[in-house]
Amino acid sequence: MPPPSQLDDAALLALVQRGDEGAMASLFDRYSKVVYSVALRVLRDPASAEDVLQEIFMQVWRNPESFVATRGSLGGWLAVVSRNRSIDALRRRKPTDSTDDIVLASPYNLGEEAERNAMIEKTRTVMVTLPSEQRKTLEMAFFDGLTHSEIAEMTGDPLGTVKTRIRTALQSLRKAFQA
Amino acid sequence: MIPVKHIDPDDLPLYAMQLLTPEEMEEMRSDLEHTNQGRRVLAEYYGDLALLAHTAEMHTPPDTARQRLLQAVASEKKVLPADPLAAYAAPVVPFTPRTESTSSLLDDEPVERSFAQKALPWTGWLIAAGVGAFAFLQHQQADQFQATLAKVKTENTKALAQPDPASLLLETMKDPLAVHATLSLTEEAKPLPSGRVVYSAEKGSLLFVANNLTTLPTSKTYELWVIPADGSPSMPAGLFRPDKHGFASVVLPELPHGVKAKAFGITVEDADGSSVPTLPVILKGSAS
Repeated sequence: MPPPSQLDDAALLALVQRGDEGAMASLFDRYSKVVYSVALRVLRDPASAEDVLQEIFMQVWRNPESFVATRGSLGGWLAVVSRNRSIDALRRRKPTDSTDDIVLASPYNLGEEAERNAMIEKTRTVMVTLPSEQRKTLEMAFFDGLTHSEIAEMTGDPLGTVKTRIRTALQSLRKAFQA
Repeated sequence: MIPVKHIDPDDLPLYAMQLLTPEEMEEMRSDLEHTNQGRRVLAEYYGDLALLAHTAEMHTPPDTARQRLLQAVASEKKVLPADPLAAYAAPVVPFTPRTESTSSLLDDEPVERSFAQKALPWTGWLIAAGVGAFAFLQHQQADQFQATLAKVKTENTKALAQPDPASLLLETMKDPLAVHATLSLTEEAKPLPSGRVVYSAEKGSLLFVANNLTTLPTSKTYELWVIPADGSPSMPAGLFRPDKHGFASVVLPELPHGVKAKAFGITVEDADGSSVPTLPVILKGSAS
């Protein structure tokens, strides 16, 4: 059997289900940077971001079956959960999402570092090419957790325009990867 | 394309980002249970959000984070369920009636006893010890559960006692008594950095967004200041660093209640921030 660091996500999760602490360490080594960075981007506070990091990986340890292969990429799932948990922490509210609800349609293998880095680079490039208002609106919603009403209030844009910008920006991001 | 008429396509990304009201979230969750295509579209949005999340600037967590996690993991070792009957599966010792050769306890010669004969008197004690140990472990576990339950209850009570920040945020923005300020550059430059503040003195709540800010070296950070109307010293209202597009925000920093603001300002400080503003003030604006 290869060392845990060389196993894929599904194999590591299976080992975690059996209580393998080495497999848990490998998952942490593989994804802690992404989870921490997303939390830090939202919370802007290293201590709070580390708390989110711990909370999410302990959830994986306690309940690895909450992620199964059909949910898509583990890396993507962890990134989305990190953002949602961080917004909850930012608004000082109890966790509002059920991680069981998050099912990703993602063709990317974020477990492979090279593929992950290429994907990150491409996403950043696409974001820069989005119309400025679309990008700002999407980032205010995603990273700052501002609702469409709050964004409309802040920017002075109509509510419908804000909602459409968010959806259009996400669709543009997806199309750029499908092209 | 979403076949269910009452799902607004614009609402699905907001649902994925949990930006709808709790009632709208619940309604959408219920609607999605009845539409495979709706769930498929939602999954695509989650995939998009996963991509977007990866645009955050990457930082390696502190070395201590790994150690902290592995200690927590070790303290919650998973115990695979064992066959509970196995503990009670003591060897069955056949009863051997005394014979002439084994019954003479008054004989001078010591009696040679079989293993079964030796083990039989201890079997009861072994079972009793096993039951005792099991009861002790159960008692310990019950104590741990009670301690955990008490901790969760305390945390829950604390959380409930806090005001709902989401409501506070909306109230702040709609508060007719809240002051607004537009911050602009003190010197001409292009593109022009700017910022907007919404601040409610009564609630001690503040929102701030800025655009076109210059990137700072890692040793420096921007700091937002509330300049009180009563002439008391400026209050720090949050550290922030813009993204590579120059965009930044400060949402609900911890501020005291009841401090009326005369103006707001932005300074550049060392990475850990400062308790007093360091001149020059990069952006400033009066409360209106």
